[in-house]
Amino acid sequence: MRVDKCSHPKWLFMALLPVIAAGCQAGPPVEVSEILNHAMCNTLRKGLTVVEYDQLADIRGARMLNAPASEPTPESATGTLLAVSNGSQPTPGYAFELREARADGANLVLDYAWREPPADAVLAQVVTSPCSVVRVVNATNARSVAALLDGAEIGRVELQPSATQ
Amino acid sequence: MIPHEVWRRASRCALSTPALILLLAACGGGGGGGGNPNPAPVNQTPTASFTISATTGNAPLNVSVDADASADADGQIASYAWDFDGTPGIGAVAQHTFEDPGTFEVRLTVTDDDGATSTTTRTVTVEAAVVTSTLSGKVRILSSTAVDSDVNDRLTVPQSNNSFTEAQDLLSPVTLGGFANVAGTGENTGNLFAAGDPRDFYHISLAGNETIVLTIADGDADLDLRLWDDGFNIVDASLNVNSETETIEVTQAGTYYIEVLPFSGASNYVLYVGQTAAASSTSLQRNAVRLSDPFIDNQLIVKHRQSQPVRAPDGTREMVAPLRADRTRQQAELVGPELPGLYRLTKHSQHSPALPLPAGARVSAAQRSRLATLYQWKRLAQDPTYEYAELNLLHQPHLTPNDAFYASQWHYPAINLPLAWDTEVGDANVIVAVVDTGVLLNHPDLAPKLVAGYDFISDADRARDGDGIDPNPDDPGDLEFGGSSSFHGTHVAGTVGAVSNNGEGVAGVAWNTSIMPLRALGTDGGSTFDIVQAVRFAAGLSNNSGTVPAQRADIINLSLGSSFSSQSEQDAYTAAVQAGVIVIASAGNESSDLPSYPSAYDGVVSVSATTITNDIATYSNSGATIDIAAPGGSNITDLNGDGIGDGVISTMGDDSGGGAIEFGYLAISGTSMAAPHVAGVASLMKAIHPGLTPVEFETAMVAGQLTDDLGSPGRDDVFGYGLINAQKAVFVAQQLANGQGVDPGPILTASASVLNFGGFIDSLKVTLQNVGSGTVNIANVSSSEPWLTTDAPGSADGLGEYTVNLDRTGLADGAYQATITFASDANDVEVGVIMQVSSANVTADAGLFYIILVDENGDTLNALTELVLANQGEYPFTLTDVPAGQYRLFAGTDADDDARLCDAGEACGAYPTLDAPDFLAINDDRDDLDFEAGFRVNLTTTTNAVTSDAGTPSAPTVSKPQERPQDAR
Repeated sequence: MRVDKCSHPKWLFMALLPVIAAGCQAGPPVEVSEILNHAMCNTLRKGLTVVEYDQLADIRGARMLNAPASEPTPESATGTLLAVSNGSQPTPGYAFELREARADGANLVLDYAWREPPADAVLAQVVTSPCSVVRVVNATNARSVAALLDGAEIGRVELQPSATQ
Repeated sequence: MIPHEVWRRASRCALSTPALILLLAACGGGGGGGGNPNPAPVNQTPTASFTISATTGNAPLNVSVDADASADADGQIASYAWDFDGTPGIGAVAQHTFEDPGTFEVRLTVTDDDGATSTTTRTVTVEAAVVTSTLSGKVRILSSTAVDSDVNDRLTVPQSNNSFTEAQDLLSPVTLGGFANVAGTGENTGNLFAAGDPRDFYHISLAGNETIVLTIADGDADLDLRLWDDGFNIVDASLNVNSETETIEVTQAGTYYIEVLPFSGASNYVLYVGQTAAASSTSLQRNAVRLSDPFIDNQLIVKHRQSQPVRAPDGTREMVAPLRADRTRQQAELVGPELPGLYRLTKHSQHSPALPLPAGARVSAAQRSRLATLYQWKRLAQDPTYEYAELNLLHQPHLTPNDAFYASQWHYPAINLPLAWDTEVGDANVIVAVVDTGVLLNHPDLAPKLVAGYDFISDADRARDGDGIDPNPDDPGDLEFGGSSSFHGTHVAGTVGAVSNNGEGVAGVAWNTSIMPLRALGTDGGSTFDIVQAVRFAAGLSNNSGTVPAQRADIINLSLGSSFSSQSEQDAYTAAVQAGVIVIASAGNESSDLPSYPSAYDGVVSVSATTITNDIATYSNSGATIDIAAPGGSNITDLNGDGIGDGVISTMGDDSGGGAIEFGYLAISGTSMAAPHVAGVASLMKAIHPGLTPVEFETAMVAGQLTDDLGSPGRDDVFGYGLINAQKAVFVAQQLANGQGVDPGPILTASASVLNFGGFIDSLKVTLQNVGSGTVNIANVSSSEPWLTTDAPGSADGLGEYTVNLDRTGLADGAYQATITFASDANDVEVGVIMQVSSANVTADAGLFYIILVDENGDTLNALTELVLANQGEYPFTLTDVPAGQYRLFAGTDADDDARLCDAGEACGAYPTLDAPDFLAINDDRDDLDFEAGFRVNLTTTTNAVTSDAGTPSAPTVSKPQERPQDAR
């Protein structure tokens, strides 16, 4: 299965951009879409986590207190949501950049780059928790998903059969 | 016939022939030659023998000797000669005294009537004399000492005080030693082991200004304290768990019943009733859980242990489920909750008949329900199934804003802001400059608070507003939060002074303070040059904008930082401080002890961040440059269970939708959030004392006057001088505004605010001093009651030690209060007086005392234990036959019957003092061994006072007889 490299804007929340167009096996192509890339993902722990749609509102910690209590689940709420976090960071300016999603046998690899603020910048002293949330659809042959950060694995989850239908 | 004696002599000589020849020679011939047919008989030597009354003994040893057993076979003993190791004696019977220790020979020489002699000796051993002494004295106890009439000491006869009608009479003030236990607990040799001592009642008249403090000796036991009025109606109850103390304050004069009762275990206790002014009792009260506390009836907060199934405790039903921190219940049920649940007592539990109420008690339905809540809490709090159980306390802040999210702004009560707001909520003439990302100028919770600011971001790309510096500090967003902007300056500004008490959004630290928005941070942060310009502008100093504000800022907040420093920045802050501006900056979020700038610059107040638990935030920097701490929060917890992470809640914007910026509120965390708390408090101070200078602020901070000390005592590298306390800060500002910060002027103070004469004391001392500057002269001293008088010192200004006297003559039984007023040319001071008049036969008594001697090895001379009972407050004792030696002399009670004296909760004394018990060199009688004893309430140093020279704690023990002495009670 071949996964195309994705070029995407920094902020993709709910954008549902497909990054996989085709695979070498029969059936619909695997789709990996980054639906959230945010600096304030409060409830996530460091690593890769399977999350639900109704958790997205809480994950996106910058949702203001006077905002609606929950955000509508899109009609296309299928597949598996995977959230990757690198824990708390001391300032703004840290972020995940999804460089590529690819297949490695039965393993789906999410390849991220880590962005940091300029070393000499004077920065706001607010704690941030950057994360990226992707939706994986049609990965019926994938048994696991690994997230790489600058080439090093930061987390891995096993997928349930048919979880990504 | 041959006379018998002759025959005996002959037979002794008629041996064999050769022997006979020799014998004849030896017998001396005796007249005539060998041819004499009747030779003279040969004299036989006498036999010396004697008895002696003693051959060993202590000096002086008198011995009697008797030589009657001596004999002469052929005649008589003519004389007896004694030699008592050099001292002669005569006669068949004699006596001699050996004065000194040693080994001596007693020699007896007898001479018969023929002049023959015989000698025999005996050895006498004389040992050193044993010196014994008689020791006597008195153990004195304070006149306000009393003892529980039923204790576990098996040598006492318990007199029940287990009901209202059996209550012991006490006079206030009193320090009483007692014992209580649940049946089957405690020493099984004691009086009360089998039946238990379920309650002790004491009857006492109080003036209404007293505190009752129950100190529990055994940490494994749980004793409680309840107060009943004269009609057996419950007044209050102190029902702590795992606490050494229970306290109840009495505010109304009257006659009361004090009840001490065990909830679990067995323990000695000390009950103190006296004036409220004692600092120790005041500090103890903070931890008390009382019936009168403002908790929500029938509700309990319970946290299950991780390993325990999540279900409602017995007697309760669930109101709010225990959850994981991410608020998922399923996870909580699988692996245990991270958050507590809220439970309501069932109807059955509320009306449980199991409440331990004494016969005759009157408890209303409401009080019964509240007591049931407390007892259910106690049960759950001691149940290992639960990590903790708590009462659902009602918090009643003072001046409380009505802003919608105020209830979640935990970070304001954390620094005592509600109390500070009672005094000051800020002044619009005080300006705090927020050098940051700018501010959302149209945010409804900020707009009315803003004064003109400036945008100092010189790089148009980072500014994202299409140009370089300009007069508009509105925040267009920095997209620093991924697809949303941080609106960091808006959040910081809201903490300093959001529009407050308007029923919407959040409250700010300073409700009326003005905010000057200055924009210096854009995309990817800010530059040193831009920040310096903003700081200079705020301080009214020249800058690259070519303008200065109409009114400079009083305070500058910088919630920003970098590891790099520069001289130009240091110069800017120095100039700002010299201009009179207080500069406050965040310490940084790198969890590092390396300096972060600008907080590390000289003259800048560096603020570290605390969490909702007043711990240092994990991200907060530390180090030598930290000055002070303030709430910065942590969004990864929700310990107050409000569904919002425990960050700092303030004003915010949201541009993630891509359209117009939405105004709202958000909880975020960081030292950025801590600094504006300090800036806001400084602005409250400035509102009270407009002349507040950076030096005055720093001086008060260094003196600890603005903070609650956290971490190591005094300044430390984590919390600096401590957590900012807004109430203290506004108080300091008031002092400074009144000029007292510079020169307090003359201030008259008294060494005591209340004098408690109790039922016996007739005079007490109080000292007047000038603790301020200048001079104080006492103008007049007056008493509110004729039975109260004072004797003044002889000083010209009237300062010094006064003797306060009272005369109970003619006064009826009861508790009395009075006031002495000392009027001076500075200020007046009132000293309260409490005293009692009672005709009841209440005398000082600490119970059955054991008087013991402990030798140099720490061994108790059990044979010399003396049991004594009180005699008008004194325990006279006499110890006889005390061998010479080195001893310590102790007196103590053994209420719990563990044979160890001086346990916590037991009376204890030592000669000459318990603090420094001396070794007594005993080799003679002593009748002056008077010393004092009292109940031990210092529970953490139970045995220290009874310490050997080697420093090893050794509580004296006694070997107690199995039966009571005849005069025991």
